[in-house]
Amino acid sequence: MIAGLRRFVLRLANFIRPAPADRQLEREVASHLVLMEEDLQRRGMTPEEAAVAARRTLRVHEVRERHRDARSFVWLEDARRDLRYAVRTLSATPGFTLLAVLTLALGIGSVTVIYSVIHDVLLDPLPYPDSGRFVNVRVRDTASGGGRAVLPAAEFLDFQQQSDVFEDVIGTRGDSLLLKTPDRVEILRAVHVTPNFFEVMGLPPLLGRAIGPADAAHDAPLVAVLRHRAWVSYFGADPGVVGRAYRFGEELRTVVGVMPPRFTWHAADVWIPRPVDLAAPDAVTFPRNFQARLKPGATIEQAEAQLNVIAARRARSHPDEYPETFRIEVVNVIEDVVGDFRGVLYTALAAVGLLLLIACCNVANMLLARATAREREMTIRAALGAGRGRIVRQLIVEGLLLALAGAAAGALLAHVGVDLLVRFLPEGPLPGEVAFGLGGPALVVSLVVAVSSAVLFGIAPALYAARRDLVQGLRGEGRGVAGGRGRLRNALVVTEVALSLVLLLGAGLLMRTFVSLVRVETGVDADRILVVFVVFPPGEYEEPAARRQFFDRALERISALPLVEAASATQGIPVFGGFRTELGLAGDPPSRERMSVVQWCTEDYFRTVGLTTVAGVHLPRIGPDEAPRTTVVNQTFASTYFGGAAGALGQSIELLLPVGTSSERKEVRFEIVGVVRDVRNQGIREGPAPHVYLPDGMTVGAGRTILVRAAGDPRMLAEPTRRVLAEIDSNVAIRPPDTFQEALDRYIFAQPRFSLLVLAVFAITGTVLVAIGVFSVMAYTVSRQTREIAVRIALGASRRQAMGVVLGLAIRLLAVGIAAGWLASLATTRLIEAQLWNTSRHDPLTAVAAIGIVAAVALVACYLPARRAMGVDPVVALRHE
Amino acid sequence: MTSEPSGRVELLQGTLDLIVLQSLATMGPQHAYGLAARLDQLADHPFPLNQGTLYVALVRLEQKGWIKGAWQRTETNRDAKFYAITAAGRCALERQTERWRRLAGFVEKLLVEGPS
Repeated sequence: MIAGLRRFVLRLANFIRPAPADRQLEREVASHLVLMEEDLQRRGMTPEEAAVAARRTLRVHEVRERHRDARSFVWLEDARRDLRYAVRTLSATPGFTLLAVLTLALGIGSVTVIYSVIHDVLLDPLPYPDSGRFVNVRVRDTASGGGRAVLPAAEFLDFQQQSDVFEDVIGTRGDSLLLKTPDRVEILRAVHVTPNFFEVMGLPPLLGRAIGPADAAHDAPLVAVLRHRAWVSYFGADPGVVGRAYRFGEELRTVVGVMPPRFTWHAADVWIPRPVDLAAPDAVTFPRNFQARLKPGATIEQAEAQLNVIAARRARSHPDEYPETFRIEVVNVIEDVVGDFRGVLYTALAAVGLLLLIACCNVANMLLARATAREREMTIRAALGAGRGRIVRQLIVEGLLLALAGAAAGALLAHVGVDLLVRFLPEGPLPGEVAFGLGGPALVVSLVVAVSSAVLFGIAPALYAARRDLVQGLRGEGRGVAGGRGRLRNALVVTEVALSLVLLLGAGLLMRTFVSLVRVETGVDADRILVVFVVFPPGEYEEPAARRQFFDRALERISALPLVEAASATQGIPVFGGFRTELGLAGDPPSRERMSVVQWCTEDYFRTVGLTTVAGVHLPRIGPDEAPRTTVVNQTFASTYFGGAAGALGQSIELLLPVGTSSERKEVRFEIVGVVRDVRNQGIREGPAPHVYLPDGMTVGAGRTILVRAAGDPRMLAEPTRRVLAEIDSNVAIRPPDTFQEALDRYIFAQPRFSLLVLAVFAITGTVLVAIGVFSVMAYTVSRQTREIAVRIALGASRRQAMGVVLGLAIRLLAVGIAAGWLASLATTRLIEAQLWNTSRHDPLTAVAAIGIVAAVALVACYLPARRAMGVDPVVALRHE
Repeated sequence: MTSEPSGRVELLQGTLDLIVLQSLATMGPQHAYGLAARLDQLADHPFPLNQGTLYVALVRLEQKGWIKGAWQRTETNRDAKFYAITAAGRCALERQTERWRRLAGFVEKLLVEGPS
């Protein structure tokens, strides 16, 4: 045991430092020979005979070999020798090595980045234990496709009590409330949760404690738990908040805990416990949302089946709660949250997969070309007795070394790439729980890719080289371009060109989409307008007259600020209008057949957003006790219902509108006094819908938006506006003001921009890789044709003709590659069709541009080596062989 | 590699170790050539030992700590590495001898019974 261990350690030591043992052995062998010669001379041999005999008896070379085997680890020694040889070979051709490593790094790096993002967003976005078993429940109207995700308490309890597929069930309702701190009022998003909520979510709090069932008791003190972000931005990350009471909305609540940063369920700032109570006056609205964790092994289908039975039973006793035909849908929460973003990310993954394929083709191609160029070396080594396995191993070590260098560089690239990508990720479609990083799985993927590519690239040329016929290999290198390997190389070039065309076409289509989205005329002077969202404190400003008074004073004082051209209050802002309601015309009562967008606004709204009047007049100013009786409509409204602006003036319409703050609605009649230009009102991608502007009438909702039109940069007005509002009433809260352009960017353009960015980066990288690939292959091919070119020129061909011969092959390959790529793109563009807007996936301009770019890049990559070959003096070229 | 001259055999690893340990134990410190020559002498006919194999045994035994090499002068004032058996080597020799005897006895018995 001890002897064995001792030996192992010494062998390892000899492997690490072979020199001392080598010197010892040389000395020992020399002494051995001397002693033997001495002995032999004593027996009568001459010194010469003795020397020869001694060397014949002790075969020094063999002694050295076997001694090394015994004192060290022979396979390790071999590996080290292979490695040293590989390093020497690779550094002998720095250009090749650099290009190959760079190519691999680009491929591996981009795969790692995208895989990291996909892992963090799609596969494991939520930090809660067993989050894969969380489901949402919705009632879907099978006739209209609409439905509700809102569950009244009674239905919630039925689902909870009558089903047995759920391990736990939680109910929530989001709300906004105002938090009053000594120096300002903040708008917080509060989420009321059933008392089991934190227990079910299963993440421990960062500070203090979470809410438990005891907090729901009738006489329990009022408590709240803070989200990390709210704790940082509203409480200065002060650990002392735990145990203190604050005024959340109307109630004084004690903060009992702060959750860790990734705990962001329902985007809450604060969680407040609330038991399900059928007797509560608002039992219909709590809980609103229903989430459950399936029992291990229970499936979504089982849950749907059970809930549908329960809901059908309920629908018989409460027919008013359900649509005529409906079904209950159970949806995985992760699916629900990131589902929309899936398309974008999988497009990116497909793109990156293509990129990696191109990179692989490139390196395979370079290694193939190199293997051909090294035929003579391989043959000599084989002739000198290197076994086939030895040569193959040597080449695999070279491939591995390249791949690992590529992986290391790729990991570095990925590190930078993830940071960059995260900066461009749109906020909207991602849940707050998502945390990005170059995770372990991503690195494993990168390593697997690296090693498998090494095996792939290493083995093919290695097998070929090892199968070489010695005689043919020594006689000379194969000449000309034809031949087996030539065909493989050509196929790789064709593949590369095709793949890069596919990438470029995809990127081109997304670019066209993005450009058309950005170019959409929203109808609003977005870069001149400041958006200020106002929230009134609960219990105050409930009377419309009080609100009207507040806005009158606010608008008057804001309009008086320097650089303000106009200001108005409105409900709903472009590019989404207000709300939709039924419309009645000329005696026909309002019906679902005719719908219109309705937006309340003060009289200066059109001037503020830059909407010009087509016919008639602006909205009138309404006195405090006056009921609005007149309206202004948009062009689409006028042309849809009255055949044009002129026909609409003076007509009267009826709208179903909410009365006061209740949910009751009644018909109100209006007279059309003006028609204004269209503005997008159903989002940026849809054309304008009929739209009615109603004057003032502050009746609905607690939130209002103030729009301020600036003579310059609207951002400069943010602080003065905030101050004015605080002076009027310091209890009124506002969201941090945005310019209209920023709001558009954040909500509308972020996602298409992200798709475009990702694909564009990949397309450019792909094109660069193709350029490298085509260049290296053509440079190699041409260098082997140098003799042929020289002969042709010597025989009287003009340089142009010779060039034609060289470029002819390249052009043929290019044409085949482009045709193949275009055919492939017929299938691949289908993948991104859902992300296209206003752009056909067969858009000819994009196709022409993409083909042009690929062709130009490839031709330049061929032309450079060809021109160099033309410049060679025929005499030199012929003598060179 | 496999073209060993006929008559020369590769000894079993354990056998050569035993031979070397035993020789050093009886003869005292010896250098590699001395060992080879001594083995040649001992054998009735020229000993079929490949001297390269001897080095394998020497390095193995030295790494195991059973013998210890040191550079010294021969009687003819030549430089040579003398190997001596260590205490651990003597213990090992005892164990190996015991094992060898048992194995040899068994093989001998087999041979005596002969093919029946």
